[in-house]
Amino acid sequence: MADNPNSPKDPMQAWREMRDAATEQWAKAMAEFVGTESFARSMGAYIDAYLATAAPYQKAISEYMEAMLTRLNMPTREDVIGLARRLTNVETRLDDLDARLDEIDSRFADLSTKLDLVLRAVQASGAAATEMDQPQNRPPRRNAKGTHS
Amino acid sequence: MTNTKYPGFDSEALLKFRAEIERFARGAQRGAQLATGKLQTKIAQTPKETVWTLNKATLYHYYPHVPAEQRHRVPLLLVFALINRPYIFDLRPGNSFVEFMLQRGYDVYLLDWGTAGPEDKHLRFEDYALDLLPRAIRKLKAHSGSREFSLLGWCIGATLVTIYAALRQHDGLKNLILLTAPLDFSDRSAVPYSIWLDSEYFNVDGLLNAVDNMPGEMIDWGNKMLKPYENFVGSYVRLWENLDNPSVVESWQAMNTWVTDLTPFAGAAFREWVVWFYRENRLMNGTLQMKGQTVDVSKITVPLLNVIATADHIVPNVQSISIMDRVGSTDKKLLSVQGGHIGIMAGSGARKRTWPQIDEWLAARSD
Repeated sequence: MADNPNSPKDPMQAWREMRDAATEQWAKAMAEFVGTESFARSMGAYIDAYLATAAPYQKAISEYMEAMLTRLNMPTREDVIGLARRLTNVETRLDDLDARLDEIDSRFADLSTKLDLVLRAVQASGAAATEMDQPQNRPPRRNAKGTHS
Repeated sequence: MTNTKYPGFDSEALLKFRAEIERFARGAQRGAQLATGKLQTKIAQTPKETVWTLNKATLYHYYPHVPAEQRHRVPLLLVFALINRPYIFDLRPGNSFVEFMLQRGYDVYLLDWGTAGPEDKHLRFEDYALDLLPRAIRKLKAHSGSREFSLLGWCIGATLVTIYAALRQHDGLKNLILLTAPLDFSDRSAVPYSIWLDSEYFNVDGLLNAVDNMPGEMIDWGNKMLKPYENFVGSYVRLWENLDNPSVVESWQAMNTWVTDLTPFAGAAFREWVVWFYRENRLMNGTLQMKGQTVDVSKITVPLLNVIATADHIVPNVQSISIMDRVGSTDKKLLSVQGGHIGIMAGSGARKRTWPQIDEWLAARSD
């Protein structure tokens, strides 16, 4: 019996094709939906509703906790935040000092390089002067009569 | 082939169905391991040292892979966005931009903004772009011994380095690379974010009064809602289909680890992001002020490589392209790469499609 050309060789393939087609349609539809003003409005309304209901409770809890911790001589959230900020300020000052040190280090390195160059130049001119001072290298001196001595 | 013993019964289909069941069984085992956390993918493995920290920010230096005499003279600093973690640059061994650039002879540094706490809710864009970034750069220069450096910013990191480059022209910046940079928000129809964040619908001040910093989970939810079906359904269907393929599962898990490793967006900076950038488009309108100075992108004169992703649904191309006509740079290139916002740098095709092109451009300007 010949193979039926319509018989599914891979039963999962048909399902995959159906799923991919649906995926594409869903993806397109959802992307279009989230790009609408009505979606933006509903999302904004959801956040507003959250703020309207949760924020007052959150504020009340914060105030209660602050009062409670103060009575217990414990640092409050604001105290810890203030401390963290002061630590950051100290860190920033240290970073400024570190920058100064790096700059001084860099200037010393530059100065050291320049001093090396000057030293080499002085040594070279000193060597040249010593060489010139050798009797055989001295230029002949003229005496009063104008003849070479 | 039809079974001759039992006419009408397709044995080939049966074999395929059986193979599918076996594949499902293999995949189910790996899926269970994945769900219970027994399958761990190593991420951010390239060895590095910490060279500077301030508040939550950290500057890392990756140990070079090639000897100093073969290395490019100009070091490279990577800057990521204020949301999610920067180890996306070094996702996993064999699929790491950092590793690739080290092999190509660069001295690579990474700036991690860290996780903003409630004490950081006052941090603004100018604090990131004109205080923390320049301080990190100063340390990079002292550490590397180079007075020049290249900057690569990705996503909001690209916005930050653009601001820096416009206002600090004499700081030693040699090359500027922008990846999927959100800069121009004039086209409101380009991305749903422009509508969602409209003042008519989104009460940014009310929200920030309640939460200090913008929670990473909310930003992640917003990013996923841009393509809801793909992110909430499609991604898991693809994983399900490939559960019997270890390399696909490993890749998915690495990316999923990064996607779910969220950081809050500092409150004041998030407010500026929504109001100054999305709503008022101040950067491109030339009205953005940072520390009392107007950010004028025409002051950027260094060589510029602007990389955009063809299928970027988070930062559509129109937000990134217009800067090409606005900068003062004469040496500038717009590079369009096939892929999505994150995929062009961290996807399986990044090693072939994106990284070599960045290297080729940068290598010619780093010695």
